[in-house]
Amino acid sequence: MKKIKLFSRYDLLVLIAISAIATILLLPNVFGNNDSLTATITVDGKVVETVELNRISGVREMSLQCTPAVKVRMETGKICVIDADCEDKLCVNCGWLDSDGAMAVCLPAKVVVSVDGTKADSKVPDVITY
Amino acid sequence: MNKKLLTQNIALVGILSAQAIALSYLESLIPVIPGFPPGAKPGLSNIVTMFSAGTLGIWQTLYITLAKAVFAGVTRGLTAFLTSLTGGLLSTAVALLLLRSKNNKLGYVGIGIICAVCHNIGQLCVACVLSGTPELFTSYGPFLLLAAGATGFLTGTILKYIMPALEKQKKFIIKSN
Repeated sequence: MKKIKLFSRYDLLVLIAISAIATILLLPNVFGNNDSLTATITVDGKVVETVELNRISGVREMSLQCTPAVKVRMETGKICVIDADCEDKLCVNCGWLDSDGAMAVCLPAKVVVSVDGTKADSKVPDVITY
Repeated sequence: MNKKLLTQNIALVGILSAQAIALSYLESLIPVIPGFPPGAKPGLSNIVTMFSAGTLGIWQTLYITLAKAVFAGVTRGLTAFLTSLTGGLLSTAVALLLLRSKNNKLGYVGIGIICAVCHNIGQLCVACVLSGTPELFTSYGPFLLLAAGATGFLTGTILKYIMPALEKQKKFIIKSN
């Protein structure tokens, strides 16, 4: 095997490149709208629940029909997976989802919980008058 | 490769596979690393596959990758097998290309980072396909990319410093006469 250095100047380029790509991909998340958050829960590709998170008062819990079992909890403006009957609990570790584009996925159960934000005053009119 | 050398290679591949599996089991004991996206691990077993890619050969490295994936499958299920295999194959392929190329200008750190990034991209692709949500690339991808930068830095550096030990282990088993 050829002698390889620990750190070459090309390594610095690699570091800069991945930081730049990550930053560019993160920009939409930073400028996302958190005025009105909609949570969408899909099981095996089918939407089972769409909730406007800001309209939730108190705590709402939901058990999803899937194997392994997945349980979600919703509070005003946020949603999280509180329990999953699997080994790694990656979706539970995602914690509260409370911003545009946030997402928790349980691969074994094929459950996707995603949060989308739309500006409150765009798209949907508050009142329609004649 | 004569029969004796083949036997010695198989023995070494067995040992390296066991070391890779032990490392991935060890890091599965680490809970969530603060500041890291959930599921992101240091990828210490990549040290073993990178060593194999650089000093052994293609089939030896592919075998270690497969052994890792089978271990993940047996202990954590089919999804773990698929993510481990896809990520492993992608990162192994890149490690083989970089470490065996004659005009590679990258250091251990750069190679470690690129392998870690490829590993994560492979796993993310499987996650996207299995869950049917390509949005994962933008929501989870950037965090995984940054995590890969840190973990690749770590694994590349460790590889550099344990290279003498791994070489010694190789010479102990493969006697070139």
